[in-house]
Amino acid sequence: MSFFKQNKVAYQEHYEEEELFLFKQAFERTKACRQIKHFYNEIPINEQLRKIVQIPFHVYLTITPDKLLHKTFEKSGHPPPQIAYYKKDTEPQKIKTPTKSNPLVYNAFGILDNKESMILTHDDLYHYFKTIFKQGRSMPQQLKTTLNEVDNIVFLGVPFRKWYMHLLLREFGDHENKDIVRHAADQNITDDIRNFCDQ
Amino acid sequence: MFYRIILSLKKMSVTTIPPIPEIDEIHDSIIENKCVLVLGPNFYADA
Repeated sequence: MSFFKQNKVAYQEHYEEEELFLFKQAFERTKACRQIKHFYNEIPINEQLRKIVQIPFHVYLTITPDKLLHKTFEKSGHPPPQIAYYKKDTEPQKIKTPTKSNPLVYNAFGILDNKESMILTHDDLYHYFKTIFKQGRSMPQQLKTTLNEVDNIVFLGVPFRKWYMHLLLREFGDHENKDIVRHAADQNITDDIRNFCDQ
Repeated sequence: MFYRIILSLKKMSVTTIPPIPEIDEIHDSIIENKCVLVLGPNFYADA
């Protein structure tokens, strides 16, 4: 994230491959969260986002912590979607079964409004693993059930090589469902990624 | 109506995998609450 450098956010280490940081002190994390929030707030609601909310998906799952989808629903005059996100060390939020008339926007790795929910450090990652593997409550049960029942998953702008992709696919139950079709759009398709989608 | 939007999303990308010719399938599964969208950080980078 070059914007971290541009904004002179203090961190001791940046583990680029994992997209994680080591902060010396707690206030540095707080400052980083503020910078990330500022970064996403600067991104305008664009035509693509407007088009996406016109497609009546019942679940919009985002792996970034921003609220751009929420804002796009609001600005486009659509009824507000249900909103939920991963919360550290707490019970998942209660949701209603997502439908196209009552969709859910779910921030799978935390949200800007709750800085404790964001996965920025190895410690955050440890808590996330603990939540999903030991407690099995990373996301609302209703959402898990919904994800396990989908026939198609459309990935847009998802980096397939990242660790969290494999976690996500397990949350989808994808590794157990060989019939599922993966559709993805990416500007930089490599053979590795193609193989990943063909698996 | 959103059938066209899916097609326009397809055009936004240089490449898709697999190519999204199975628009009918995607369209129907969206209608049936059987299709999920996953949005990642590169979406904003590419936009």
